[in-house]
Amino acid sequence: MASPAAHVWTLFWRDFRARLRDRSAIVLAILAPAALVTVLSFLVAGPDVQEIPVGVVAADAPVSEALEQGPLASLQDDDTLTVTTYDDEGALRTAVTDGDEEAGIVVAADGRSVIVLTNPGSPVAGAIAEAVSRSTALTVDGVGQAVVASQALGGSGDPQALAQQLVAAASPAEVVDATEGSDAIDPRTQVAAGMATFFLFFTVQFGVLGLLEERREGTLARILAAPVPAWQVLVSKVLVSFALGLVSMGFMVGFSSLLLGADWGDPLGVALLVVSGVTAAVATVSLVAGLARNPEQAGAIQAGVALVLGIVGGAFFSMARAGGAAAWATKLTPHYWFNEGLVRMTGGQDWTAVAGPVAALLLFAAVVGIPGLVLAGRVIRA
Amino acid sequence: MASPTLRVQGLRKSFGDLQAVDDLSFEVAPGETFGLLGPNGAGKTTSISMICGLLDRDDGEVEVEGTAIRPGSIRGRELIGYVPQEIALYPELSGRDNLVFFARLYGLKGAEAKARIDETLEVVGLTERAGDPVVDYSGGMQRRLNIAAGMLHQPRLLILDEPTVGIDPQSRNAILEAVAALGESGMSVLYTTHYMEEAERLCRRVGIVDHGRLLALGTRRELVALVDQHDRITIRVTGQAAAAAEALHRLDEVIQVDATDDQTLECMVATASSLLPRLVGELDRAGVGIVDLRVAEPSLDSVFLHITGTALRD
Repeated sequence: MASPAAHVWTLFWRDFRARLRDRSAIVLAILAPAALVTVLSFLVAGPDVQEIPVGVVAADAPVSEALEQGPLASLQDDDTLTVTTYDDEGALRTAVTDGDEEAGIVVAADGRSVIVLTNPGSPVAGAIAEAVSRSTALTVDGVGQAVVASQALGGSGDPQALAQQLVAAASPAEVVDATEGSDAIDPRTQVAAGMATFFLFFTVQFGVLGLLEERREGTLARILAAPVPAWQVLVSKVLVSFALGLVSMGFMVGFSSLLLGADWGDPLGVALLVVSGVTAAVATVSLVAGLARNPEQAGAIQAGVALVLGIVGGAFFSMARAGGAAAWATKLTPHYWFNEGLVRMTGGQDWTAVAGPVAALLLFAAVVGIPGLVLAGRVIRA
Repeated sequence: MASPTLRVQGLRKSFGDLQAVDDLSFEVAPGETFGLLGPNGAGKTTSISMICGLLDRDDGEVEVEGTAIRPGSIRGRELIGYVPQEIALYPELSGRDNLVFFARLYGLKGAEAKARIDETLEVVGLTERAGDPVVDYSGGMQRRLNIAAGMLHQPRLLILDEPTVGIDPQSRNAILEAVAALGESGMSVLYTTHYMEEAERLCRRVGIVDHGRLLALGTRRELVALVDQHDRITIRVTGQAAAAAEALHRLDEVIQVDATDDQTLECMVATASSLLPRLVGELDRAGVGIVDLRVAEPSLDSVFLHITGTALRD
């Protein structure tokens, strides 16, 4: 007599192999989410703002210093801009016109004006250059006022030297974005996570719902006529769903990270979210299998459940900010808690930040899955 | 009867108001091929599902070699080989891979499993096509593989639920030969069918079921005796049929003789096989030559008609 583990493995492996060869399973688990996330991530992420070439002509020392030590320095540090210094405005204009630089900033010799040169084909670079210039102008203005005030109060120092000291000492206040949702994950990761969890609920149906197919085809009766307890059949089907879910989610995490630049956060935290998310999805499909009478009905119910949970859960757009019942309802879905886990890991938080969302996902799995497994067990014995 | 391989006692099952199986009791002896004969909807498949432990029963007991078979328990399952009515196979897998899968469920592995699979494929004549996906098999080949999956683990009792439904005569014949060979090898077989000729050809004893009840049970001859049917001998003779009829009347076992035309007689006799030598001798002594002689034993069809009042329906 074979051991229970051997039975479960035999049942699991046959089904899992068949699913991997099944085109519809591959489409729902891999191809469709990958295609959608690719398209959507380009739509939501906007233009790439990395290493924009900007030229600078610094004719006035204090203003140039304010410019280079202030916003330009920080934008260079985070690789938003690549700054090149030019000797004269004419050379910079030519570079901008030719496209060698996407924008230019010219500080006039008298220090009284900052000219922004933009390339019509690079509006984002122009906007950044203008913002940088305005910020610099404000700094210069402040320094000028401080020098004037110093002299009015009887200061005897060299105004030029005082201005340079003030610029060097300038320490911009920290800017904190306190608007609601400012801690959201980046758009590409959000789209990838939304599509991954949305299609997850379609993917997992290929395991547990197979019970209904096998019952109709007669193979379930044949298996149960062998010395194989019903629970081993149920466990094998649950494992198939679980494995397919992991394959789909794992692929989406890898695909979006490597090819689309998504940043899911701490790998251990992501792994915990994926496992608990897949558990919630398998629990859902178990309940559907237990309630449906035949494979067609189960497929239709599961599609409806996946669609509703996906929309309410924020797979396409967040319902949390809608307020009222929508905000309340979205928290009942695994999709919301999966996304919430990713949000809580933004800003370099480690895996412990996902404890709450993981607990919520597992609670959902228990509430839905326990009756689901009981009902699915009845399907086997029916 | 020796200790039976299968003992079914008082089996009952109802679905709502429908009494699908009503007090079904019978036994199958070691090495016996037993037939359950009845039309579609008679309760055969429901009975088999309960015997295999796949379906809860309202009442009754099932034992295979003394081991009670109960739903929800796997005790004794390895003693049974189950061949369902539908093709319960995985079409995307090859014939061999299907058998490997089912062999593992019965704990067969390694060299033992390979040997059993090779042997079983040989029995059902699918060795050459074992590597092909089942989806590419003909209906008859799929039926044969369906049987192979049930007999693979060499069960003590093989249960076949209408294994020849919907296949061509050639494949049907191959299946009947395979089942007959299993019976000859000493395996007990429970065979359900609604084809009279299959029951007559394969089964030593037959139970006739309809509307969930076992209406009659016995060997074909015992069943025929129940309805007072006789063997019929049709003889074409040279010379006058009247003279031949007079000669045959002299035999005590001849119940009735009718001349259907100048050269043809129809005799009703109790047992044709034992009477034939004396019948031929009597005609010879009367100077009557025999051109043609045919024996027709009473069929289960007529038994079924007599017991149920209706012909066996599909």
